[in-house]
Amino acid sequence: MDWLLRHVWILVLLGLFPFCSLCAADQVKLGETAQFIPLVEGKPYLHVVHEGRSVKVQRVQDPDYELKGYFAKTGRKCPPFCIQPVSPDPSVGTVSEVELFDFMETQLRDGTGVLIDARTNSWFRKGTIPGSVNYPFTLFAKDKSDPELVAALKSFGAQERGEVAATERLLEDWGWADSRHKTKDWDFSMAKDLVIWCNGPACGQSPRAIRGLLDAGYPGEKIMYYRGGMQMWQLWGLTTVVPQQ
Amino acid sequence: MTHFTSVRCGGAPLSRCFGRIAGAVLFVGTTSSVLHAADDAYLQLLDEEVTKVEAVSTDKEGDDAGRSAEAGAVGRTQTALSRERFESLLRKQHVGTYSFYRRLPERSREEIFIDYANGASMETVREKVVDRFLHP
Repeated sequence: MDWLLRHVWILVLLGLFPFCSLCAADQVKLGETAQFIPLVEGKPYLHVVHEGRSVKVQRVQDPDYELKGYFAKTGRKCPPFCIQPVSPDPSVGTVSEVELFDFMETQLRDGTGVLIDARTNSWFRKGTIPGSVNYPFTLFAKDKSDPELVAALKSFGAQERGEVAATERLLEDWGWADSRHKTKDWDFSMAKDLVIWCNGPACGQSPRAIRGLLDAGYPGEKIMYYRGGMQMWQLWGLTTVVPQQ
Repeated sequence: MTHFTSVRCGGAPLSRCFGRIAGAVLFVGTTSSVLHAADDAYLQLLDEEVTKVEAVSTDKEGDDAGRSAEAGAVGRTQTALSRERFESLLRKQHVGTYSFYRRLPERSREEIFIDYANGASMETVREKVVDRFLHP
């Protein structure tokens, strides 16, 4: 009897196998039809948590969609809205949308990264990139001992060092102890990776925020600059959200 | 005994040294105020630019949630309106504090507003916001 049951199960499983393969093929097709515009090849969309809910990030599927409004403008008063260099500092890397998608699916999802909208709050409230938190650039221009800047750095995972033993300091100075991500006041070893952005290539708000963070000792290798900002994000027809709070 | 006028500072008489110090203080003060003025001008231009932008959301599910929140807000009490004024004040005058305040749970925000309504100074309020942010 056991022998018969075992063979029936095997036959049932073998019968289902081609059917499941067809299901999978259908799912793949869903994101790869000729009409569907994916985020990148092989990635139709992604999900990111924004203000406690999951937001689907995808491109506008209307092939006739054209960008209108403020971010379709080609010119603004310069200064101050001048074209920015590729990076505000040689130690800081610049990312495109593709790297930002990866960041959203890795560091942002597992909590080792923060996506920072460095614009003033009035800009943030007009719409932001899903998953972003608003830390206005003015915050990073504050004095290093300012409680708000201190709180921001702590929220990024930096740790205040307090009193450091003279021997430890000496070992660090001599290069015998690891001091790579440490300053006199802060230990940035556990600090999160940051992707910082603002309105786009002609926006100076995120470069200012980045320079402020570097002044505070935040390691350049843990900071990334999304230069495209809101202008490029909208140009690609990517999902934006208006903060509820 | 050393005579006052014979005291020298970097090779120059003390009186000239005072002049240099005063000049340096004046220079630092002027530079700092010029920088502040530049920052203020930049912020003012940013505020002007933002009025040209329309709020854009392409997240339909979020829009629906927003509309239901608006519907729920009908019939707000006077307290809620005062709290709006408080939050508006915080947003305009203390941008950094406001960015932390927004992330606090509703319970903490209400507590901070009640403190403010009961006469706590803005400094106390700001300290409390940072404290609640760091120790939720």
